Amino acid sequence: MSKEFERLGIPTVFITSLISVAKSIGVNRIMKGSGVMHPVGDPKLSLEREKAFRRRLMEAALESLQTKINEQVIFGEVL
Amino acid sequence: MSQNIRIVHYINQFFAGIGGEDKAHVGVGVREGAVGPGRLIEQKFSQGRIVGTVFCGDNYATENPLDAMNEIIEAIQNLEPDIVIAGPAFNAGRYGMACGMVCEAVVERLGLPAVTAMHIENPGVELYRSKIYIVPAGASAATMADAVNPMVELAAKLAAGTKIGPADVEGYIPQGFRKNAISTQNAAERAVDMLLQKLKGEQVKTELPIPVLDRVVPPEPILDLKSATIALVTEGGIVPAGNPDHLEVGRSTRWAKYSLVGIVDLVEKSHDAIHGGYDCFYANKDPDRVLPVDVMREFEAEGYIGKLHETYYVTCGMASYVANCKRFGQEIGKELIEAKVDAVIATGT
Repeated sequence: MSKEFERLGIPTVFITSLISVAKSIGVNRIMKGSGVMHPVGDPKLSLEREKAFRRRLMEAALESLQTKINEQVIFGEVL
Repeated sequence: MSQNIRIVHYINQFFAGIGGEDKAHVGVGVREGAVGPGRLIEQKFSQGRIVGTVFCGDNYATENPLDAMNEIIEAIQNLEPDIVIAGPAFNAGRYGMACGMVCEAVVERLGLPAVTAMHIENPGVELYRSKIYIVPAGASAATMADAVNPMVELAAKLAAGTKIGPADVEGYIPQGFRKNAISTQNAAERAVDMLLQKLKGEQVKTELPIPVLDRVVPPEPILDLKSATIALVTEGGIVPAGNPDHLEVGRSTRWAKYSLVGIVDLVEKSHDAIHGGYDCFYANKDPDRVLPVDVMREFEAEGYIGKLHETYYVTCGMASYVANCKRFGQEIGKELIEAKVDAVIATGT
């Protein structure tokens, strides 16, 4: 889906734990998620710290959408 | 041929009888002899027996691939196999990736033959087909027998050290290698033959298949985040409580969209996670873990982004056909453009 959005001209970042799959499909903007069951969360943290963690992930995601790229890039060394 | 080929079989937590997605985190374990689909493999594999079954939870294998592969390879090595068989993984994405990783590691680190089976659209195929032998399988375990037979045939040949012929003869998924062969006809003769076949309307088999690589040129980035409308899209199955549109949990044929008007935080009571491909416990407790509405609303209130698009889009990306996902992307993308959405954050489980 992400690839089709980008084909239509909408910059899209895909947050996933399965980076290799996103790479092989040909997604341009890829960001590593925190886990299959919670791409933008971490139930091991307290709710407060988890939300701060999610903020950092989402800030990185927004950063990727403001970055000019010419080919596939894996963004965000948040994890 | 030896009647005593030692086979080690690799399966996931589900086929090992440990449990479904709620047990996908379990680590590596070993059982003596054949387990689950291994029994059918053993029955078909007259020259050998399964000396042990190594299993691992799909999340554990794909989220910690380095540790998981070290442990799996050690367990396999201890069983002293002549060949390793993994799967079939059908169209289960993480299972297919795990089977691919295991076979690759067996070939590279142990120098032993390995074979697996999975559906042609399993992401494991694209990632591993050039490195290992993958036999095509159906999409679900209902096709177990059809997948096991060709897998066992190829495994028997590999174990016996028989030279393996080209993919279309041996029945595995093409690895993308081109091997030279001597032909009695020169190129001109073969080309004319092909042309004549074509003119007669017969099936023509090319000698040089061209790989299809579908790549998209990345669009221009957002220039001004403060005035941008950002949409959330997920394949993680977050729907309003009760799943009002009966969205499918997997093998999806459709997507849904829901309003975010007035919603600042997703909570257990307001939304459900219905995805059939992962354990939804944590996502049900706090759906923001998959669809981060809470943080996006904060960004919006702080003026960090222009606005969060008031509609989100959802499907369940479990064993779903690539062609369908592509269509979802085109259909949803069209709506996003009409709504003047500037960028998308998509989450995947």
